[in-house]
Amino acid sequence: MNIKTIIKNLAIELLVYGILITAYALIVLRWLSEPLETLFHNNMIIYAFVGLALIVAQGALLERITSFLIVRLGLSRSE
Amino acid sequence: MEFPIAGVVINPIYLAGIGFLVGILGGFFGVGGGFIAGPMMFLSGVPMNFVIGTDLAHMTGKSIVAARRHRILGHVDIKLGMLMLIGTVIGVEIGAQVVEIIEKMGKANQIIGWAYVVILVAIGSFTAIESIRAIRMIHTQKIEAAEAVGFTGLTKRVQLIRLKPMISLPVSGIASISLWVIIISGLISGILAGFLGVGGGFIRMPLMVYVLGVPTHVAIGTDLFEIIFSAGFGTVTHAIKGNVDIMIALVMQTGAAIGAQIGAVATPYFAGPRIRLLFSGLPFIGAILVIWRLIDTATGSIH
Repeated sequence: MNIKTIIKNLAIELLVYGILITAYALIVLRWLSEPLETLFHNNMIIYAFVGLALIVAQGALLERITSFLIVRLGLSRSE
Repeated sequence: MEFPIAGVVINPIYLAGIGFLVGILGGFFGVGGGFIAGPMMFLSGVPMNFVIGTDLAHMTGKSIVAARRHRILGHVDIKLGMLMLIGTVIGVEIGAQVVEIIEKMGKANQIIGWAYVVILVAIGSFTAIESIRAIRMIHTQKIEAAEAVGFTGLTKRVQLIRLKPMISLPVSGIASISLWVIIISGLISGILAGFLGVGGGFIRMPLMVYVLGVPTHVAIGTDLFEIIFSAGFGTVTHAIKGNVDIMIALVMQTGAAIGAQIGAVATPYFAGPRIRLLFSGLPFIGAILVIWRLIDTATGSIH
């Protein structure tokens, strides 16, 4: 694959990903803010573990999405 | 967007942008990128006590994405990562104890800060000289790019240590190595990480390449694998102390995830010595940022 195609595919990926993430931030993250703040003030230990769980879960979810996009757009050499 | 836990209002695009930048660095070089993300978060108004903890939280998520990608590419030695982790965890605790002793002596920030600068400059200089030498070797001695390492003396000597139990690391292409060498390597990186208050990816990656003899691509992937656990552990301990705004970390992670994928996907396009040469610039950037902060603190205290 030449460099022009790679850059084009990368731009498409960033655009698609950007739209998905904006929707995700507006729908999910906005609603998470308040309960997390309440938890932070009420129980720091539960907050710590919920926080880690959220980070791990979001990491796994985003990994799936980005992997799917990378494979679909042919940016990966080994798949 | 308001982040009530840290008590700041920050544009989420700026946070995702920081994540994207350090994500690329993380995926490509196998570092957490805290030395760049930290100052950028601080500049955006995140209070200093939230910077370190929040950065560790976002590092955990980013490393999951990058390590998974490196695993698909065959660049993660799980056995090595788990064994090094034993040493790292103990080392981080020792490093933190050393910090407490220095703090009692006073001037801890100055001592740790300048030690950080010396270590960063040493790692950057050594990696730069070695990688240039390796690139020359590829051209003059017609050596395979993947095998070219400028200084192999230390690796050979380390692999000659026959302190039992001896283990093999097939993913890293190491037939036999003492378990203790791996644990001590993890311990050293852990002590330095705990002492300097950083993730330690920029210490561990060169350590794996030059001391253990791990190929660069595998060192990057394995380092990221280890960061998942070390940063995850750090996230919980900092969060219990009230130093993590998980919302900021989640927003940063949205940018970091795609950056980490791009960085990881780019690694097979570069030979090991070229990655190490590019990597050598990172510690210098880190050193400049630390010197800037030290001078700023010193002049601030005078005023």
